[in-house]
Parts: sequence; C-alpha cells; structure tokens
Amino acid sequence: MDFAKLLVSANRSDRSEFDSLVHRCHRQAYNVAYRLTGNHADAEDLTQESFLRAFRFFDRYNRDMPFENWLFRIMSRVFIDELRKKPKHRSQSLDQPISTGATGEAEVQLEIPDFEGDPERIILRAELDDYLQNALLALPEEFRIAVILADIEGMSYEEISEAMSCSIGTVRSRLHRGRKLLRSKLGVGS
Amino acid sequence: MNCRQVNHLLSAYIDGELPGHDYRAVATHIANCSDCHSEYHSLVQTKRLLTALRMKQPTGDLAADVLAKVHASGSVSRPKPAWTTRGMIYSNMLQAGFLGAGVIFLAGMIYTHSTPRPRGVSLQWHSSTVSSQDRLPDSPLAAQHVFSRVNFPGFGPQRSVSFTFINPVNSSSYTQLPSLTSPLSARATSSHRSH
Repeated sequence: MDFAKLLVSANRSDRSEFDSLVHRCHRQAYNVAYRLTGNHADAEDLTQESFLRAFRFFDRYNRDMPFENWLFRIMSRVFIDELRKKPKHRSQSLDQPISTGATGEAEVQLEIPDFEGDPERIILRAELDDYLQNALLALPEEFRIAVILADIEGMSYEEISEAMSCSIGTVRSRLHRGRKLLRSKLGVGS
Repeated sequence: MNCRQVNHLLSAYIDGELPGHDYRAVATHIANCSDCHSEYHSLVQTKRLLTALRMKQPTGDLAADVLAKVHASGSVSRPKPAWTTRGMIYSNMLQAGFLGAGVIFLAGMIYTHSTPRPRGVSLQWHSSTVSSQDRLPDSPLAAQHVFSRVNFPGFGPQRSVSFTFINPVNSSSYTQLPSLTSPLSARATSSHRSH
C-alpha cells in the first residue's frame, strides 16, 4: 500500500468534503448571518469567517452532528467575538425616527403594521421583513441568536444549547425573554 | 400551576419543548385563563412572523468567495490530539545521515490503556491525517510539530494508526507501523525509497 498516496488522498478528501458542505450550506449560513447582523456586508463577512474557522478546525468536526449545527455554533461565537471588538454596534430603535436625509423633509416615524387588522392593510412582505429585521437587531445579542436559531432555523432547544454552549434552561429563558421583547417591539397585541 | 409559572413556560410550550406533565398543566391552565391564553396567542403570533420571514439570498457567488478564501488559508490545522490527556506519546527522532541533507524523523503515538488490546486490530486512517503540505520538514523541531498536529479522533483500544513521513529532499518515505502487542513507541524500523 502506498501510504504517501493515501495521505495526499486523505487531504484531498477533506477538501472535497468541505467544498461540498460549503456549496450545500452557504445560503442557509448567509441567511442566519444576515438575520444576526442586519446587513449584507456584515453578513458576508460573518459567513466567510465562520466557514474559514470551520475549515481550520475541520478535523474536530464530529460527523454525528449536522454540519449546519456545528457551523452555527462557530458562527455564534464569531458573531459575539466580533461584537466585542466593536463596542458601538449599529442598531435601529423602532421608536426612533428615521432621518430620510433629504433637506426640508420631516423625519419618518417607523410604522408598526397592524397585524390584527385587515390582511389587505398589511404592508408588503419586503417591508414587513425590514420591520422584523429591525426588531431582531434591537434584541440583546444572546436573545437574538436564540430566537433566530429557534424560529428561523427551527433548531431544537438541545441543538441551540450546543450551539450557544449553555444549558437548555438558559435557552428556554433567552428564547422566552427574546420573544417577549420582540413582541413589544413589533406591537403584536395580545 | 399559577399564572406566573405558566407564563415562564409558554415559549417552551409553543415549541413543544415541555415534558408531558408540564405540557398538560400549561394546556389546562390556558384553556381556563383568558389572560394566559392571550399571552400565549401573542407569542404564537410573534413566532409565526419570524418563521414566515423570507430567506435572504447572498448576492454574487458567495460559495466561490468562501472557497477561494478557505483554500488560500492552507490546510486544516491539526490541534494537539485530544487523547494525550489519557495517553502518552513517545516521540523519538532519528537523524538518518545517509539520506544526505534530509533528516528522517518519526514520531510515534502511544496508547496506555491498561486493559489488554484485542487481537485482530485493524489499521485505520482518519481522513484528517497529515496532509500533503505536512511533508517531513528538515528540522527535528518541525518534525515534532508535524506529529503534534496529527489527530486521531475516537482513538481507542481497538484502533491503531500508522504514519508515513516523506522526506521532501529525496522523496524517501518512512512508514511507522505501531506494534500492537506492547506499548507503542516510535522506532525507526525501516526506510526505503519510494516515488
């Protein structure tokens, strides 16, 4: 048996496996990154850095776990690490007027859609996305990660606890508090 | 269960993450308590809004960008093997003068489990072993580094591993097949030329 060839082949096999995982998961990873950061540039950076770290530590990846879950664990850490480097994180308060930038025009107040009203009055889906995104950005980061992984990625509490390196009880608490904050930001009536 | 207790469990109730007895207790409570039912209803609405969010699509070819950066970054790193906490590594290095400028090293890995090893051990390779970039360097320190980056996840009594190191100077290779009957120690047992 030619071990030298086996070595080279093992390395190629690693890369080939990783390449196919990138192709399979990059859209999903970008979507989560976008919901975490709220803008395209930061989402791309976060996605790329997460995949880079995943590749660097690919030999630690336990194949019993879905790659996406492992990637989101890395992404959560990268996200928190990057935020710590940038103390002034941009976030838009829903209560704060937005400046249109045009002179002489009044500032525009963010309008919260009336979800209880006639469906015809619900604003266009794209705008709804923006409202929700802004509400997500107003959440504390750890609540935001928990809510995104649960409600956008559909992960179980156990999977989220692995991704966030915390107990299931903490996940439950972060999710519940996150959703309640989100509800008040969105003005979802009870 | 009172309203305060139920309130704490509502999100987990919505997500189906409550054990049976809690689930039934919450279900019974919100069926009979309008305040808690309203609270439950508004949280369900909030969750629905999020689950209905459109998937954001990257612009351009993000996969290609990611892979370009990944491949530019080099090989998968080889952290110190996890099993070093319960095992020992015997590392000997042999300088082979007859190979000229190149130096052949070896590194061995050791398993110190006290139980007898089973017979019929198979040779196993993990896909993330030494990569082609990790060809034998020309200094003992670097060779040791190569070894320390070899990782064998799940290493246990029924597993064994062999190494091949390639001398970049003259392309000779050295293969280490660990003994399975005694504690494995790194010994130069052969060296031969290969291409």
